[in-house]
Amino acid sequence: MIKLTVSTLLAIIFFLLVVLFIFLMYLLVQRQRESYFEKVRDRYLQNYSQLWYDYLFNNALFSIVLVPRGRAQVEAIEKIFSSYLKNIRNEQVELKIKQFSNQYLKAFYEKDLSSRRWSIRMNALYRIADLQIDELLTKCQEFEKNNITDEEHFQLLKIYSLFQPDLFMEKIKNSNVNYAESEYRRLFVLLDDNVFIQFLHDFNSLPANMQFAVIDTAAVKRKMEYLDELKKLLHHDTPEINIRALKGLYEIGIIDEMDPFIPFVTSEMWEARLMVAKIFKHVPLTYTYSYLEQLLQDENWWVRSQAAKTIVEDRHGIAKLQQFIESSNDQYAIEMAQEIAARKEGK
Amino acid sequence: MIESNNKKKLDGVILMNDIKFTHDIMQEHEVERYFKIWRESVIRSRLTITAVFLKTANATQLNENVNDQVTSFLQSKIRKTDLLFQLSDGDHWGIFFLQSSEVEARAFLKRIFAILKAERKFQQIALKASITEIRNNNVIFEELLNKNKQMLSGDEQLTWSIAEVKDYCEQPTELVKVSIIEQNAIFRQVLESTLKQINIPYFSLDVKVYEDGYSFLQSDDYKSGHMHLILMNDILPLKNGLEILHILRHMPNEKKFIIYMMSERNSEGAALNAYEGGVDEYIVKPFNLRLLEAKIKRTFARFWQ
Amino acid sequence: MKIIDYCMMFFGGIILFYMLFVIVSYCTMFIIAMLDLRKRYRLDLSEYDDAHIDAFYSKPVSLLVPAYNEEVGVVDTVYSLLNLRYPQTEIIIINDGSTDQTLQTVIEHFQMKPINKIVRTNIPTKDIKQIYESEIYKNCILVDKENGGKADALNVGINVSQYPYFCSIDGDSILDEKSLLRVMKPIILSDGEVIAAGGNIRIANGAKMQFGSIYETQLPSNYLVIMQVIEYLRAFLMGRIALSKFNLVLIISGAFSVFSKKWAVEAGGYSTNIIGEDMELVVNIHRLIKEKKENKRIEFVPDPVCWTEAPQTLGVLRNQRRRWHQGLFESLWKHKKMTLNPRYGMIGFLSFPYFWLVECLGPLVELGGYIYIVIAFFLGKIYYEVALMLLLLFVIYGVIFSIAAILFESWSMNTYPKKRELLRMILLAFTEIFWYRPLTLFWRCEGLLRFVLRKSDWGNMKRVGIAEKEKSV
Repeated sequence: MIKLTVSTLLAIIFFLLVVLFIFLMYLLVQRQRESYFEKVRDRYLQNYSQLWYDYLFNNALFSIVLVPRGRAQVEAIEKIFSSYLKNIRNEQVELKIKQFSNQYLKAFYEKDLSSRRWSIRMNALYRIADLQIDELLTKCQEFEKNNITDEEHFQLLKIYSLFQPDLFMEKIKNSNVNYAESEYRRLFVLLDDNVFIQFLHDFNSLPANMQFAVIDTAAVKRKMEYLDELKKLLHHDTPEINIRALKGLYEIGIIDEMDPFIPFVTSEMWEARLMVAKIFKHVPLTYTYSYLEQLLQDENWWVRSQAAKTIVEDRHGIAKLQQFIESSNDQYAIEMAQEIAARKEGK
Repeated sequence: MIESNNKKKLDGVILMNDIKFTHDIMQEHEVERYFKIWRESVIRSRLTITAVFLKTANATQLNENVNDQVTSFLQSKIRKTDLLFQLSDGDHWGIFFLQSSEVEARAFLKRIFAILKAERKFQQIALKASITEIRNNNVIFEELLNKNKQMLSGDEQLTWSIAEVKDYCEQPTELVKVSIIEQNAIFRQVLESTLKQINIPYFSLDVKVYEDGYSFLQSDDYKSGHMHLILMNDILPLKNGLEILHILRHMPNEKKFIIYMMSERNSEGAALNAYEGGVDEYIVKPFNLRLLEAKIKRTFARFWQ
Repeated sequence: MKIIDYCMMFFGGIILFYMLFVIVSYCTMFIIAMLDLRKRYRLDLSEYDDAHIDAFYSKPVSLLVPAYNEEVGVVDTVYSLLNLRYPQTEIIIINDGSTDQTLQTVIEHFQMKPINKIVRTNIPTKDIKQIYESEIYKNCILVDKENGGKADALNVGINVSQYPYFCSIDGDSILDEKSLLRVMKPIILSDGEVIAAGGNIRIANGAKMQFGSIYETQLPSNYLVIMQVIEYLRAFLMGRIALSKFNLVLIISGAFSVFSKKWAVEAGGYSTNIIGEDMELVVNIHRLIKEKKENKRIEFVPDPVCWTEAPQTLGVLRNQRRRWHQGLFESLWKHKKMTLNPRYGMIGFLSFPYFWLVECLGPLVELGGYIYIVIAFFLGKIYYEVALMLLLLFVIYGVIFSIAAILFESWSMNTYPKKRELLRMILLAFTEIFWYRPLTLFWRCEGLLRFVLRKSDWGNMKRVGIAEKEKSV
């Protein structure tokens, strides 16, 4: 019996070695092909980079020579386009890239969408979005009907948001995939303002993740129109939404009235109190000092710290803090005030 | 300083009228020494000097009083940075406007001519003027004076007229070095082509490109005295942009560097950091290259007054 | 004679069974890893990277660099951190009472000026002597403190840090510019469900580096180092990827790992009285997750890269392996209650047993196997064949898996593109079981022994210092 096992083992080892050897050969061949591929690609880059510059940037005439023959050249063009798109913002250049891609690169990506490999399909989706190949929009919609992964679905949403916002809105609301907040933010930030504002209007019908993403995106976009909507959200039932709305208002930085924020000075959530202390940076100290003093004696370290920092930002802040230090009994508050004052003076 | 006016001696007798109280006014030979220094700073500090020469016109009666009147009037009208002096032949006044162009000098002349024409006490005075704008250092003092005197001599020139000597207003072309430090090869080429094509009057650009911070520092190009425009990324392999910024701004002649920093980071913190470190412009990618071109042109145009 | 027979059969059986078990489990992990990496093959990662450069999208990270007598490598490490493509970071270098020129070197190179800074002591540590800030890089801080060990230094770093995530980096490691972005990827994409992540470690020996940038990778010529390269490939590719998929990771390398500050602090920070402080933290966090009954994960990301120096001589390598194994045993023993404990879910049922059997006690069995083979050869007839069988199993376990790992890594990540280097590694892999493996097994058993012995004089146990690594400069 043992003899049998030994020879079985030997057979297994031999078999595995053969398999590995074949794989090694396959790898070596792959490497060869890849290096050839890179040569063709680099040759294209060397020969035609200047021509591309002249065409895209200097309004030179289009030359048929630029049309890619084969995948390697497509990759070279992708490199060129991505260098331009990542670094320069120029409508004319973007338009030319879009036209070229729609005309000459479309076929390649169309084929890629039907590839078995997930990574190839993802790459194609990336390119369709980046190079604005809107002629493939219908193909994308067909593609969606296949059994696709969440990441592919996300890319599709991104494509819709760029090419057809209405479709995007529809899809995102009916989607059964729950994306991460950061992903929603990525999508929303690309939207046109008049499309985005609809999300603010429909706020309550959105799932929690999306709601947070909407608030944060509104803060980043910093448009005045969103201020009112954000202020409304201060009265929302969910405390997390209140806090986010506070944060958003802080980041936009335009505070025209103090009243909506005063109730939060005594909020149960320390995050809310912290945000109010931050928001008061945008209001003159004379109006806010009494509240900040309250917050300086808050039980939470972060709130105290921020209250002190906000006070100190004002011209008369240090003086006010000195006054406070002399008159107060609250040990922690005094310590905080002293440290922050010292730090500001040290600067 | 009490000086007798030798030129108008009557019958060899020194009359009381001859003793004039002329104000302190510099003379031609004194000014000549200073002129040599100012001339060099035209190039070094790019300061335009405009020289104005005035002569009483024919209609004026030749009178001792008149000269002094003109002198004190002129002295009261010029700025602290301008210099009034008298030429050795006594007939001409010269004013050096040290930081002004021909346009400003003209405006000045128009103003004082208007005053002279309007006020009664100046009624006998009539002047004519000649302007020279100096934008290079190929000027010899004596020649400058002679050319202007020539302009003012002769009766063709009318009273209250302003002539111009254009011999010295040609601005020399200055060589400016440009260094582009960018890792992406394609974009580096784009920047190089674009900057090479920029046409700024009176400046010529010598563009060099680098792939990383270390090769830039090794090149020693930045040590020359030329004005140097640096367009670099904040993140670079081998010695990043912030470090280069620090090194350049701590050199003794750091004022010659104009540093534009490109970055993908769109945060206020990063921008503030860069400006505090001495960056002249913080550019977030993707950016409008045409606008950058315009900014660069404008930056150089500002250099000459 | 009979007794010897029984012994031989008994031990032989155990060893055989163990080998089969190990081979089967490695096979499973390999297949899982293969399927995972296959998917990402040829994916254009730059697309993802660039979309997240904007400060808005990402979460800021504090980079902690504990340094003890690292005057040679610390500057390069910091340079590589300064060149990370990540929106918002701060770099905190912690000088752990170095006795060489580390402090002065850092102060000089980065123009550090002393400042006053309020530090919140979330975790108790040894005293801080002085905090400095760089004049060139406003987000770079140096903390000078009393010597307290790597764990203590990291805790100081955590206290000083201001961002919600921190990344611990060894004082002689070099990061690739996209490393941080990629290691944070699971944390960002999961919206905070992933609270810690570890990155892939590569051996830097032989790589050409300047100012913190690696510009050419080359397989080192030192055979010992090449073997370590192969070992790392095997461990990371097979071990970590598979475990990560099922949230069973117990070790994310201390050389490059990211943690959520909140969770790390709540888990007590890094323990100063234990050797394997990085594993200890991970285990503590896992416990915390289970105790709080939350759905959090710890992942391993194969893309990001941290280059680190590997020992080049037998002596240093021995110290390293001994220490690692001693630390492993120590940590596992400390938390032995978690083993097969339903309270701790899959960690208790799968992870712990795996680490106990395969990683920790495995070397004993394997070493036993070697000894067995030698004895069996001498004893003669039947055992001759048993020995042969064992040998063949070792071959599968050692050679086949190594070659498979090398080829597979070459296919998916292609760290060493030159054909000659690839062949070199494969040839050397054939020899592993004859010299490298027994050596490391022996050292690991030494580590086990050390742990058992030291246990008896716990009171006298000195803090094991940071291992002195030889620099290749």
